[in-house]
Amino acid sequence: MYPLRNLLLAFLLIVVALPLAAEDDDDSRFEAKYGKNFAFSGGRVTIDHSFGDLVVRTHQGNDVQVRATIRSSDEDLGKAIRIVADSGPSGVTVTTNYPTIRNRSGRLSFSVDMTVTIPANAPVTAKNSFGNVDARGLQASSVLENRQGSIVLQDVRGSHALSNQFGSIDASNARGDLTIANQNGSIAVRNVDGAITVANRFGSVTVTDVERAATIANANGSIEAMDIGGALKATNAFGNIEASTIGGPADITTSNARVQLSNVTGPASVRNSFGTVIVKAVNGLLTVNGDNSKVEASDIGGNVAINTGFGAVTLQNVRGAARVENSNGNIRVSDLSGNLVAITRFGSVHAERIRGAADVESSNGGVTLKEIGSGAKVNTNFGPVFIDGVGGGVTVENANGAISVAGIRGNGCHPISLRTNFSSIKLSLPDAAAYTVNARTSFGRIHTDLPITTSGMTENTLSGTIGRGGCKLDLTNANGNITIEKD
Amino acid sequence: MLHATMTPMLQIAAKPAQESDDHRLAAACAAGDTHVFEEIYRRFGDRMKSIAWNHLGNSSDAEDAVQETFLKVHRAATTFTGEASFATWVYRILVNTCYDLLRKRRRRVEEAPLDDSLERSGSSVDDMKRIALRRLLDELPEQRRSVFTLFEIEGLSHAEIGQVLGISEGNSKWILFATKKELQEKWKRSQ
Amino acid sequence: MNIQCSQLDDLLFDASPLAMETAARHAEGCAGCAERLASWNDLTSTAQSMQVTWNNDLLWPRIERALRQEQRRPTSWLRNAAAAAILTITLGGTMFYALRVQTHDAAFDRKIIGISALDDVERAERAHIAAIEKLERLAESKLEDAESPLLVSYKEKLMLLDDAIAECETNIARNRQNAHLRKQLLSMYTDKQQTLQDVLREDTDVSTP
Repeated sequence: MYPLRNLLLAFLLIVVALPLAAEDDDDSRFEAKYGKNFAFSGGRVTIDHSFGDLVVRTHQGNDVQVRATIRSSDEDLGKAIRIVADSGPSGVTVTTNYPTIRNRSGRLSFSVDMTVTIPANAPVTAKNSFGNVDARGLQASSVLENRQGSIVLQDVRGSHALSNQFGSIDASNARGDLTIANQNGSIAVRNVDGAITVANRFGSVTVTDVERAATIANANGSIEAMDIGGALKATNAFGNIEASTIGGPADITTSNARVQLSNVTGPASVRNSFGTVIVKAVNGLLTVNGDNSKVEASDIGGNVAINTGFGAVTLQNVRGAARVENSNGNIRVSDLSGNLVAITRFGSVHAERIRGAADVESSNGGVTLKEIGSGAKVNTNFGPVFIDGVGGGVTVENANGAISVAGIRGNGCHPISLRTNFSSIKLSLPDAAAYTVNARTSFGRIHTDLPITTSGMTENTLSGTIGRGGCKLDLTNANGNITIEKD
Repeated sequence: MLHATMTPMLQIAAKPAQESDDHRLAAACAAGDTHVFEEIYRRFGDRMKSIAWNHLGNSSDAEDAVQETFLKVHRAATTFTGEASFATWVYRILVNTCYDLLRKRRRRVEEAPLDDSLERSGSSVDDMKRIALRRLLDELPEQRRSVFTLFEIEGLSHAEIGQVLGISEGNSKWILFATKKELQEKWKRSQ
Repeated sequence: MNIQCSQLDDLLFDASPLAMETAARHAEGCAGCAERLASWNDLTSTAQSMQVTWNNDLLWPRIERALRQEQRRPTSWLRNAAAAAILTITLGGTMFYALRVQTHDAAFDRKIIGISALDDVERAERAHIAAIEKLERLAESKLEDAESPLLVSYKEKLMLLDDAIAECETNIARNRQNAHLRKQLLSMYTDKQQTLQDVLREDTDVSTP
């Protein structure tokens, strides 16, 4: 009862107030319908419309049917609005004409909504402004242009060109190629059985399910591309790019934004600056040029080349060789089936499970190598070098950083040359090791757990053989100890 | 045992008879027909409970999610377009409801083998393995967990999963593969 | 079909019966791949056993009760409103017939805004303009000295927006109640406001997204 009483009171108040508010609108309304059919005997259907929505549909007939609703706040103005249509050998043209308005009272307003139904195989050019465009079922090529309104294109065949400014574009279910351009409006494309070319500025681009190639350019708007059957080329600036499931090569360029690329059949090339790059599952070569970009890449089916600075690089599971250059950033690589070349300054290098050889250049950064299938070569300063598990020769040039090498594996001679200053050298050798040793240091000690048949020994030098000898072992230090241990 | 391709329990490209049945269900839900809701509960309830349980980890939260889903189906039934099958549409609402619940509550994971009232398929598989796999699934991000759960546990096809999660069929397949690879590494270490 | 170990992943990705059969045949002759395939299948079979179900006779009645409560709310509102309407008509019969009854064509209103609704729209536009002017004053120096490519890009976007807004306003002056024009203008004001806020948020130093 309580809520019912309140409702009743509210109703009475409204009823009392209504007469007082009766003088709210002196809207006058004019509405008229236009309808006419025109024979179509070939050529093109051309529509020029504005200040209202334009709908284009198709039918199996041979005529062009034009229907329009004219609305106005003024009867005279409404009657002066004209739909002018003409039919001839070059096709049918439809134009909406508005009278010149001297709007003294500011109360003259108008809008015309038009629906044009065309023969299914008639090509069409339609322009609109300050209204939306919705075209479906077209079976021949079309050109749709709009300004300050949206464009929707759906269920079409043939090639179509769409352009817009300050309005969105939505295209779906197209059997043919699409060319789309926009400015300050979003673009969404879905399910195209052809190739697409898309250009935008200041608006997002989302593309999914394209049978063939996709070429997308944007600036200051994001790009998302998924399920592209052919090659993808995406260019952007100040806009993120996210692409996945690409059936051909992928070529990605952006700056100051994030790139996320996954599941590419074919080679991939990424260029970015001041933005993160994440790449997963590329079934071919991968090239990344990231200027001040953090790079993460995994599951690559071919060789990898990465060049960046001021961002960490993480690379894993590569069926090929890798070359990684990073100035001022760390490098982390694991599970590589080929050789590794890693170059950095002011960054550390960590590599493990590298089936080939590892060649590392660093200054001012530590180097850690584990499970290197072939040889290891390291050149660094001011950072420790740790190597554990290597199947070939080892060469380390360091300054002001410790060196520790263990896990020398495999048969045959694996020459070792370790050099540093102001730090220690520690080398672990297997029992069956056979080396001709040359070790020297100054202001440090040389200590060995392995029996060495010495041919010369002073306080700072030691030369001789371990086991049968033969394989070269050079250990050079200044101001640091040298230790040879059993592994 | 090889993982055979699952025959989807539901047809994605709904045949005309199924389409009209789907629309009948949607219309009746919108009208608030309780008999139809009961029909839906009988037909899809077991699977809904299983999906919810595998997302939320306990039967109490799963039942809450199923109840909330029915209410949402009633409210949103007029928006059903027939693009997906009715069941797939309901599962989409259910999965989103589970996500909402997960965000609101701490996930309380039951150590379910102790719960005698839970029936399992394939009871010959070791309970410890199920517990281990459930723990690994808990660590996955939402979408990956859902794709794995819906495909491997519930037997939905990639096309159905795409419609439930709003991703493409290709993406569902790739996400499943990447997730299984990641799980495989951890699975090997846990066994 | 003979496959390499490196193709095992492709077969597992494909996961079709033929692909799994091919993988199994390859695994017969390759210990490493056999181990991988075994753990893969183990994972799969464990997952397949994780479908659960349980009996709770109280669940469906609970759901049914909730659905009934959900349905009752609008009905009871309608009932109360209908009762109130009947009472009001009875009590205010004379006043009701004195009122002017206006019928509105909903479709017309969607295209040509009524005068009273227009006041609200223009009030909203003025609020946007005031907010934009404030933001423009704050962003002025940053845009004038724009050197970074991003700020230059924002400046260009704002110029484009200003041109489009001016075009829209010119047409509104001759077509004041056109709903599409008003909606378009509001949308561009919102876009301009957002862009100016982005300009103000932008550091002059570049940061990595």
